[in-house]
This record gives sequence, C-alpha cells and structure tokens, in this order.
Amino acid sequence: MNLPKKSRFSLKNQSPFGLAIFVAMAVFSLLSDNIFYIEVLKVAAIYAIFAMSWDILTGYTHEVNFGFAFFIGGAGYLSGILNSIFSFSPYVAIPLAALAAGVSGIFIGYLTLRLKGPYFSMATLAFASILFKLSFIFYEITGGEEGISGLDVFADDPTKDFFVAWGVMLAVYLILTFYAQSKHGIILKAIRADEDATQSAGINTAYYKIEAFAISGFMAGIGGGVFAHSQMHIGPTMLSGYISIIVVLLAMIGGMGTIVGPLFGAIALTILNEYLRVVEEYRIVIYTGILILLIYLAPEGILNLKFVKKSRILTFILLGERKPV
Amino acid sequence: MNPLKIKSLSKRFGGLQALDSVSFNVLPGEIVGIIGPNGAGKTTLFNCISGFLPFDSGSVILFGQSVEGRKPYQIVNLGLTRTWQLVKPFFGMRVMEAMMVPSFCRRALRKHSSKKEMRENVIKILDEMGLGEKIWQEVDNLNQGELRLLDIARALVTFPKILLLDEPFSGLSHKEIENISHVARNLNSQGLPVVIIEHRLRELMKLVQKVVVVSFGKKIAEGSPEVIVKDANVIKAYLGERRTKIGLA
Repeated sequence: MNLPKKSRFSLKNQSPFGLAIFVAMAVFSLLSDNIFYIEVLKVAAIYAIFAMSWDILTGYTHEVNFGFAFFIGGAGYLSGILNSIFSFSPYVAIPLAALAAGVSGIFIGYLTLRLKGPYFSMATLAFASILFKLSFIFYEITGGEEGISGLDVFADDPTKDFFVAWGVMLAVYLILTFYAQSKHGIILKAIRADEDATQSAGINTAYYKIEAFAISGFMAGIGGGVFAHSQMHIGPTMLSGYISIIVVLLAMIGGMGTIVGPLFGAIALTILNEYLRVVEEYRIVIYTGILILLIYLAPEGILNLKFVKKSRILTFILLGERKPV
Repeated sequence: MNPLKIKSLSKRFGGLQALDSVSFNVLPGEIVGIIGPNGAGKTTLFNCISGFLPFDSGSVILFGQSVEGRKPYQIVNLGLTRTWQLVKPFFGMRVMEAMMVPSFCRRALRKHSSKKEMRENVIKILDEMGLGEKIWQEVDNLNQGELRLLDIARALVTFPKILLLDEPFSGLSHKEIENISHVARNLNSQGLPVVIIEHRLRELMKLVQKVVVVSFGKKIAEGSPEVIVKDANVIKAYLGERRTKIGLA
C-alpha cells in the first residue's frame, strides 16, 4: 500500500510493466536501424504523453475532457509561432507554450468547476472548437488550413529525435505517477467517489480539481510542442475533434485512472494502427473493429479488467500496487 | 462558550419555508437529538449549519465564530464535521486510503507532527469503531453498517469539536444500531457534543439528553426526552389531531 510519504520519490511504487515498456522502446530503437519503425515509436511516445496527461484529470475525477485538442493543438501552435516568427529555440518555445496551456487549464478549470458529466464534456469541447476556428480566422499567423511548416527539429538523426520524445514521455510518466500516488491523487479519487463527502472531510475540492486541470494542460502542452517540432509541422488537425477523440479512446482502452493504462493503450494501439498498413485498404475497418471489440470485452480498460484487480501478482506487475496480505 | 448557537435561522426554497426562525443551543458535552416528521427541514438545518446551503437570515455561531459565508471545508476546519443521511463512501478506495482523505484537511494536519502519528491516529480511530480488521479491505466490500461506521470514523479524523450525525441508524439492524449508539456515547463521554437527526425514536431517546422537535420548518418543542414524548404539540405533529367527531356516526 502506498501511503503518501511527503515528497519522497521512489521507484518502489512504480509499475514494473510501465518501466518495461520504456526499456523495450529504448532498446528497440537502439538496435533497429529501420527509420520507419523508429518514426512509429516516436509518434506512439507522443500519443502516450497525450493519453497520460488526459488521464490525470479524467481518469482520477471521471469528468470526461472531450476538448483535449485545446491544450495539445494550442500549445503546438503557440510553440510553432514562437519558433517560426520569433525564432525561439524549441527548448524555450515548448516550455513557454506548455506554461500557457497550464495557465489556460487553470482558467478553464475555474469556469467549468460546477459542471458535471455531459455538461462538462460539452464545455471542454466548445473551448477546443473555438481554438480550431480561430486557427482559420488568424490564418496570417497560423497558416490556416496549411498550418505552420518548417519548424526547427530537435536533431537531424531520427534516433536522437526519438530519444527526445522518449525522454519527455519518461519524465511525464514519472511526474504523473508520483502525483497520482501522492495525497493529491488520493484526494482526486475521493472527489470522483463523492465530492460532497470530500468537502465534509475538510478538503477544498475546487482547488484540487483546478490543480489537476492545470497539470493535465501543462503536460499535454509539452506533448503538443514536442509533436509540432518532431513533425516540423503543426496543422489544424491537432486542434480538431479527431485528436480529442483519439486521446479519449487510447486512454480508455488502456485503462483510466492508472497512468500505466493510457501509456500502454497509446503505444500498443499506435503500433497496431501502423502495422495494419500492410493491408491499407482495410486498415480503418480492422482498426475500428478491434477498438470496438476491446471496448466490448474490457469496458473499463485493459489494465482495469477484473482478473487483473483480483490477482495479487498481476496487480503488482501491471499497476505497481503491493496488496497487503 | 457554547459549541453551537443557532438563532432564528431561516431558509426558503421558492414557495416553501424550509426553516422558519429555528433557534437552539448545543451545550458542551451534550447529545442533542433533532426529530420531526418527513420533510420537516431537519436535513436542511444540517446543510445550513455545515455550509452546504446558504441560509436567508438568522445566525449560526460555532465556538464564537459565525459560519455565515464560509465554505463547507472551512467550517470543518473550524471544528464542525457532519455525516450524511445516505452513506457517502469513497468507493474504489481501500479503507485506509479513504481514512487518509480527511487527515489531509488543514485542521488534521495542524494536529499531527508526523505522517506516522497521522497513521497511528487513523488506526486508533478504526480500532475504536471496530473496523480495525477491515483496514486494507476495499470500501466496496463493506456492508451497510460498516459503511456507516466508516462515515463516522472519517468524520472523527478531522478532530471535530462538534459532530453532526444525519440519520446514523437508517437502514441498519438492531445490533448495528447498538454498535453506533455505543460509539456515540463513547465519543460523548470524552466531551464531544453530538447532534443527531433520527427517525428511530426508541433508540434515539435512550441516547440523547435533549430533543429538539421540528415540524414544517418550525421548532415546536425542546426539552428532555421524558418531557418531549408527552408534549401535546409533538404528538399532534406525529399522529395528527384527535377529531372530536368520528366519521362513522
């Protein structure tokens, strides 16, 4: 049982499965010289950042954020603009953009504080669509439908480029798991179970919800920035409903509220999606079919399956939780 | 200083006067029962006191401080903790985790010097409630009586100076009621004032020192249990008025 120890970081509470994913990705990219595979892994890593940062808000409070493109695309565009117009280095532009995403997370969190269920989802959806439209209205800065191209990359070598994304993914993963295991994570879970009861336990629930929103936005902003620079391009797709829904799907199929789940879901499904390109005509059909099947078989996500929760050894390997006897 | 002073508290929901200038005091170390027919405004009274509902007029003075305009969590930090009519368990957590939540409130953090002390206090409270063996269980696996006890245990973690229990006996078996009565009496013997809303009058009357009767938002009687059960107004509120003409004739 991981009772929060004040700001003590330990690998003991980490999921072995989650760490194994990181090791496997790193080893594979070092051994393989196929650029295509490394590109796929890089995209998978970035999607994993999105899914994990989505999970810290929605997985822990169960308020479904359907406008995650707001943070991803917003920060992507901002860091693209900072880079292409003001010629900031990506290492400066991305943190700045992520900070802006975090601050707007506080703002949106404050505005949607009292909204619950579908109303919350619709409000977040609206914020994302506003930004989507704005990217067309201010086409002189954002490039309209074309987006902004020719952004600076981290490195010329795809392997190095991959390792930037990998490193960011690792950092986001460690920070988020640490946050989720701390008192903040426990309080968010309590808010998910019953907000009134959490208030009558003397907890300022509004503060913790907004904090989760800000962290989720900040991490997604970092992901969006890394995506823009590693692709050298940011377009309106990253602000569209498509990206919001993909993030929700990846995280839900992996298993909400676990951080490892969305990590696993994002990487497995992105690789699967690319692997299916061998049968390109049927790719979308097979891919969506598999998604539907997974949702049918594991509605709460693969890592939240009943037999995983019941077995001591599986809970430890997959989720890193040590069940006391 | 009186733990709780309520003076002409009023609350209106549209056309319904839910509370109509209710006043009473809770003295130190007292167990007060609040009774009344369904819809009398008992839970509204609790919601107003604990800050979940703003009230229209009157005052609630908690240890000399007005609670008006304070948020529920601030009132908990002043030393007033409540439980709910329907149990509000933290499903999806373990008992220990659920008990840690209230210990993160400012009031509890101030009382503890270390995490170890905090943990020991939680374990001590669980032991007193008879939940000591359930500490690593999932909240989802507890039965109704245990959930009720866990709700009260969670309230105790915040170091309340006054405790409000909203229908702690509802849905429980006789034995479980005995258990909770025992816990309440135990807490009270340590000097904690307790206010209880309850419908199970037989069990309540054995427990309390003072009863406040509310009907249609008004306080209709206040006094010791022996006096209250004989009060004409109270009997009228519960059973209706005796008719002089009986319809059969």
